[in-house]
Amino acid sequence: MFYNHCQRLKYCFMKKNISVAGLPFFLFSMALLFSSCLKDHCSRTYKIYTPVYTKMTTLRATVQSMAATPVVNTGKLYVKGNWIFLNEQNRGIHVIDNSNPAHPVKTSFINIPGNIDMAVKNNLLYADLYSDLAVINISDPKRISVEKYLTNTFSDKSSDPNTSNPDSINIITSWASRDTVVSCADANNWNGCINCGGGIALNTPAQLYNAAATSDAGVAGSQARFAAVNNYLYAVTTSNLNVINITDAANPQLVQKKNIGWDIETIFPYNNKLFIGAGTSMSAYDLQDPANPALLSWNGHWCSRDPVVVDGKYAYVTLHAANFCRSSINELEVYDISVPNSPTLVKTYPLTHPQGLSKEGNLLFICDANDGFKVFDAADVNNIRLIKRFPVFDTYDVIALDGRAYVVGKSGLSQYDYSNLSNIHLLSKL
Amino acid sequence: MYKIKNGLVLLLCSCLLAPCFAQQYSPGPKTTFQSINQMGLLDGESGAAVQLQTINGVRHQSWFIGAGLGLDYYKFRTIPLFLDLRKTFGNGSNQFFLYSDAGASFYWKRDKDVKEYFLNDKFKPGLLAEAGLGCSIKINSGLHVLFSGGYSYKSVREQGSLVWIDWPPPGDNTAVTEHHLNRVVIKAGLVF
Repeated sequence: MFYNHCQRLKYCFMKKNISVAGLPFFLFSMALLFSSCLKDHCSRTYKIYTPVYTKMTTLRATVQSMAATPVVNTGKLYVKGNWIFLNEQNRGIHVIDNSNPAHPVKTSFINIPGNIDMAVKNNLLYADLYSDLAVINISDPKRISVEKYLTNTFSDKSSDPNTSNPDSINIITSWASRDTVVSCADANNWNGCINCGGGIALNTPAQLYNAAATSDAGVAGSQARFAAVNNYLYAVTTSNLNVINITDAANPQLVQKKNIGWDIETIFPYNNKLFIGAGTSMSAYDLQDPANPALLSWNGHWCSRDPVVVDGKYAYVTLHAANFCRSSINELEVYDISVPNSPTLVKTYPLTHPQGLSKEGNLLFICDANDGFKVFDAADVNNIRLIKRFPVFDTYDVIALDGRAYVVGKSGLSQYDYSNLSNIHLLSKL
Repeated sequence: MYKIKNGLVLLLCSCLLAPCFAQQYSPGPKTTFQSINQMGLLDGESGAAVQLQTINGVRHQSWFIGAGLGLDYYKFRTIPLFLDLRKTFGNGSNQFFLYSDAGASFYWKRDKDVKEYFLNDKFKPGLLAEAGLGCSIKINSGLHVLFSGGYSYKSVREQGSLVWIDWPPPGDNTAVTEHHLNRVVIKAGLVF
């Protein structure tokens, strides 16, 4: 049948209507004629952001205690005694009376613009206020008073890192955006990053999300960037370790800003050492000279987010896939740090998308994103076993302390009682 | 020189097409199902590429409407999904027709494709539009051969970000690239 069709086609072209055979030629000619006239076009639509500045003096004037407000955009967590301090990202700190863990009560809200991190020593709260370190007396959480501002402690957020005059510091507090269309050729000339450069003071929002080490200080989550150790407060920025002397607690003095690399994320104090979690490494610093921490060890890993906690001779690091470097590692790494300047990897355990973690006794607690909040038996680091999983999602940090786990997630703060291993249960949710 | 050359080509083309208009009218069946299956060559600034299409629909007298699906390899591999409308002139064994297509163009990933964005690179459906003219040659009552040519447009939307989410400013760093691809197309196919 196909042969018949071919014969007919041949006949059509050769006998019946010979001029039609030229049609493909006509079409080909048309293509030759017009194809060079046609151009492809490529456009790229961006949002161009321009910074909106506010003077530091204006921002300082807004630091005050207010009535308790709803928890909206949870940030980092800090526990001291019966008090819980919960950061509201870039807005301030919720002060929560936890005398009755089954019924925690929001007492007040401390308005601190640009606040991400905190540490508490005695009755003083150390909190970042954009580029400032604010020292706030919280003897009465409902009537706080500011003891001191340490200007330009976090100078990467300041328009003028070298001044001590708050009037001359402008802070980027918001961004105005507008849609802009450019040709792809122009966009490629900027390496695609239309908002890069321009001389603006960068206001890198710190990563969300450790354990402090002195009896008069509190305990922070694994994702904290502040650690109070004895008479020093250590605060990491993306590239620096800021060493602040708090011997005179109300009048802290910046000792030095030590460059310790890049993409620094977390700090964890343990046994006179600082363990630093970064995007591509875990490092340890010795605090024999507390004013000048000395590098003990550095362990590189592929680009991942990695809070670190330490207990005894082991360090526990969770790595989760980081968007920006396309890594796909999601695991728990256990290091033997008995030789401090030469940690060795003991074992890795696959996880879903782990973030904050905490350890107390033989129990290891890990916030594993959408796979829930998990409790592991870590008595044997070579055989860490899941013993309980709570199907709560989007948790990102945990503090395990005296039989209670304080878990913070996007949906708020939860407390779990693990004093009885056979009955680990939810105590309260805020 | 170019004008003379182009003029000559156009004149030649006009002569070649003339027989298509000169056929006798003979009414066909009122409403019939038809399947048009054709292969095309696309040519534009990004080079030449192949197009494959199958269009299935109904013919009512000199009108045809159908839904089409295909493959388009011009710059990006896409799957066009479209409506086809065509009007035939004449009813002899050779017929002239005009056609137009409109629809969506779906990106189909190839390993060799270079992503525009470092982060969260995603392709979104774009538009497809095509119009042209052609000639159908009857082989027998159930089979025609088609030759056609015209202008074809497809767009491809690619969105993503070249900067990581932590980079200031906070918020939406997503950019959208629109590729507007203009081509000429010549096609040959069979109608069942």
